Amino acid sequence: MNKKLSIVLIPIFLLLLTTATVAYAMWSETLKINVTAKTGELDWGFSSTVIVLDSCEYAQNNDYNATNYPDLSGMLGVTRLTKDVGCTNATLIDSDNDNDYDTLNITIRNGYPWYYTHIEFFVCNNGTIPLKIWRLIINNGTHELTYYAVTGRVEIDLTGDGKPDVAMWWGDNFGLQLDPYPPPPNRTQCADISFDITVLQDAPENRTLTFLLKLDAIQWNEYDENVP
Amino acid sequence: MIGKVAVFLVLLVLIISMISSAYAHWNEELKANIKVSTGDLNLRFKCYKIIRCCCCKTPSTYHESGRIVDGGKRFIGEFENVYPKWKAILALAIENVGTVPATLNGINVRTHGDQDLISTFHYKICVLGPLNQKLSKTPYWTRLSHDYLKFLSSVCRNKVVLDPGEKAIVIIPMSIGETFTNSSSFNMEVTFDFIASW
Repeated sequence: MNKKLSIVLIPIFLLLLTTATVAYAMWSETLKINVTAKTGELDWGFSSTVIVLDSCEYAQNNDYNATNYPDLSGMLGVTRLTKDVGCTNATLIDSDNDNDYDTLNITIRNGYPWYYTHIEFFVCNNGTIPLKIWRLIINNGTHELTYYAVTGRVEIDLTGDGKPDVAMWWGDNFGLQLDPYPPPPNRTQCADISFDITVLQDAPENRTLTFLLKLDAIQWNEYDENVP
Repeated sequence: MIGKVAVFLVLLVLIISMISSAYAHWNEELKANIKVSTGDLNLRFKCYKIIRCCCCKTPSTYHESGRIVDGGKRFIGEFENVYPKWKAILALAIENVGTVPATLNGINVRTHGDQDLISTFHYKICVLGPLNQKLSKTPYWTRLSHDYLKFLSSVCRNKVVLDPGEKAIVIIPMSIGETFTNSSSFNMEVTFDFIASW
């Protein structure tokens, strides 16, 4: 009985299936939109050139003395001495091995009150979107001080006694836009940044004082909103 | 209570999300590590010698001694039973043991003892230098004598700049006047002033 019923039902089922397929048969075509969002890269680094006024690499490189605070014009107020006592070293490091120099180690050896040195370096946009030189953060070991659009003198206490031990003078390239390579006409990919360091009277003798500078760059279109 | 905590957590997450998006931007940091090693400004007395004048016989009670104290910053001389017409030369070598040049700009002499003796005590100060050779190779030190003093007067200096490792010789001719007729003792203390300037 069951076998006969199955033999009847199967052709009926096949007929129904064929009918249904015919009912859905039509032409259609799909258009596709593949969306790929490939983000750019904000990347900058030191170029390989660092210029140091009183480099340790040269023997008998007589020192410079800031007999008083130099003004913003640069070397005014600085005199060259007749002895080579202190010196300055600068070394670039690629700490994350991404082919960019991201760290600059500066060492002043055998400094003394009014020892003066000048360090000049270049920063370049190595990424794919424009950036602006945003801010300077100075970490003296206990505090972080943030400066925007810094120019002129910054005094830093490195011993925690409330008296500044070193003074720095900064140039005026904060806020400058650096464009990716190749930069558009009248734009630049690299900028020159320099600062002076003078050891002050309250720096202790026979000590090693360290501090950390962080230079931040920000995507160009967010600069204005993030500068106080 | 649990409901309130849940509402608070949800609000907190929402606020943090809002703040995060407000600060959303890309930035990258470059670092400059700066190390400032300061030098050492340090002069000290290295050694001394006392040369008595041999013009007259020294009493058996006479005794002299000296010592450098305070880490080389002070010399103390003790002269017992000095006598009329006593003469001596105190020579002190000062060395720059620091790492920066220094200007030796003052020698201070203080005496303590019998007032009658002190009133007839005379001294001069002559500073020679800078010297960058060993004292044993310096005629100012090896040939120093009462006769040699007259040759030194022309080379004495008020200020001497000493580079690290260089030395100066401080020569102090001393005498007791004839008017002092007793035998008495006195002490003297010698210090020096210096600054980091050149």
